[in-house]
Amino acid sequence: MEIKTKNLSNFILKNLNLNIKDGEIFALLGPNGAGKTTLLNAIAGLIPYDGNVFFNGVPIDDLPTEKRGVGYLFQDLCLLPHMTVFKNIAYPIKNKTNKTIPEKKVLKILKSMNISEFADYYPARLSGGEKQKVAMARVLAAEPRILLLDEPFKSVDFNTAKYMREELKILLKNLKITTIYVTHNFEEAQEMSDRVGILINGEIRGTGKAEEIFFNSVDNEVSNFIGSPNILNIDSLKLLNSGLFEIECGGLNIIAPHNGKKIKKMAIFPKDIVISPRDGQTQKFNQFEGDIIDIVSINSHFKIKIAAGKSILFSEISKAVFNSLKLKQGDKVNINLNLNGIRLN
Amino acid sequence: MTKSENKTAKYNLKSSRASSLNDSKPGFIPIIVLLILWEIAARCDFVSKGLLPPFTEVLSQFYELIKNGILFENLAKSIIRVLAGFSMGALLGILTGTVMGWNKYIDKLFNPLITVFYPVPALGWLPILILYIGIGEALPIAIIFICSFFPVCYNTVCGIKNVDKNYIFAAKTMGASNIRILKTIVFPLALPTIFTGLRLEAGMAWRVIIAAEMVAIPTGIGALMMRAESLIRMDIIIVCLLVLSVMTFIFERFFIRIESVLTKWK
Repeated sequence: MEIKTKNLSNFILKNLNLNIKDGEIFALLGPNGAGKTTLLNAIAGLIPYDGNVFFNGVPIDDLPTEKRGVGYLFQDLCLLPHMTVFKNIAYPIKNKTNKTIPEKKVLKILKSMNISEFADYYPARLSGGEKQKVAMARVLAAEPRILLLDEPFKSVDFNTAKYMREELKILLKNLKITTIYVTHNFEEAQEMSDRVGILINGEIRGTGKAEEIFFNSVDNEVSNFIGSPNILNIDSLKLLNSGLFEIECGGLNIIAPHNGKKIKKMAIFPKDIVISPRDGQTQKFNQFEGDIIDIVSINSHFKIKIAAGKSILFSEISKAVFNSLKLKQGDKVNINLNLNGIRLN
Repeated sequence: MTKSENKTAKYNLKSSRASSLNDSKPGFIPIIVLLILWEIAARCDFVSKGLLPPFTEVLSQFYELIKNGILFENLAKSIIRVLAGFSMGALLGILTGTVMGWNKYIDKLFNPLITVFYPVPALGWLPILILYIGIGEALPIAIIFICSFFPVCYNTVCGIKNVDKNYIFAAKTMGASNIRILKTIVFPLALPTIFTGLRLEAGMAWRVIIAAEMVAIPTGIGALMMRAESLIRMDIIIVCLLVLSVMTFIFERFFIRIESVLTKWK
């Protein structure tokens, strides 16, 4: 199942063209208010729009929502509060068959999602993670042609969400369902998807593999959205004995772990560049000297522009740290790179 | 927290909720104290017996009225009127309210009428109804019908409209037709609001029937009270008031019970 939108627009979306391949997990990334949910609603036929939506090359714009074959996992899950878990999962099946509830099928789904013990529970009695599983089971019970997941793990704690994402990815890959996965978290999109699309102010600003988008931001808004990483071109690369690489880029020698593939660029987020007053001590691994060129106050933190080697780096520090360091333009500082924050491409 | 601990916590929460519900049940001690004070005040002549007969005399009068069949005869007439008027008014109110809440065009058509007629007190219709249908059995039933129809309809419209639109969207993506969404999702989720209307109006129907019987109809509990007033029989008036109180309580409890069965998911 392939999905294609052509000149899709409404009062938020602006002439949006998107092509999602058969069986692909496509992450739709964007800040709040970018139009991500609006796009899903348009694809599902829940809101009016101009333009066309195609499934496998066939326009579905004239089909009502209930006939589009879309499985939609809403942000707030929308489990029917007056039905038990069993009835919630049976609901889409009964809509299709229009006969008595196929008990065996529901029980099989409950078992496969590991939620059999909650069959007679009403949703109000379930925890966040359990609700999430029930909602996913219900969406899949409908055997949709395409799956729309709107920030599905928003209401689940970090560790549960990570575990559930892994499970979901395996499940989606096994079922080979074309999926649009909406999130505003780049790491999550990278982890879950085959490809990523950046949606800002109702416009698609770029599609491709997560790494491609990360290292080749087309404009400032995209770069700001993904955290304004410092991108450095790699001049040379030397393999060290310990499996680490010594990377020379922009006059800086950086040690970083790498899988040995050919790399051209290195990225590090401003929050992973730690600065401290220069103490005159010997430079350690991934520690450099730099000069502060500019200081900009942004909301609760400061953005520090530093010249180091032949490169310009941006560091981000909190107001409290900034005040304690008493930094000013022209100060000489030590720069420490957080090894875990380095990305290579 | 393990899964079993989690379950135990949930059950504890449920039992603590149940005990807090029990706590909120009306106690009988204040009522018993009031009855004792009433008896003492009347027996010790703190209040004239003509204005406040002792409770035991009221009880004996209650027994007399049952024995000679007067209470049953009048109460039965009031009950039939309330049941007939209320069931028709509530049923039509729910039906109209559901259609209005679900279909915005019908809502636009009928909403102005409901808005105009809903605030009119039920007894305000009495003079018009007397002129239109005359004094007879149809009059109290029509009054109760009006008294029930507008508030139940209004509450039903609110209940249907207030169902979270996302549930409807979710049902559509699950392939449900409009009529199935109304039947299986919207109406059941609107039930708590509908029942609030039914419960309040069940009590109100009794208040209105008594007033209507006092003013315009010669039979029923209200009429019995008026006859007792003309004979200065305070004991009979108090018996009628107590019966009215019990009937209102029974009606409201009946709807609370039905609601708790139909909305046990809450």
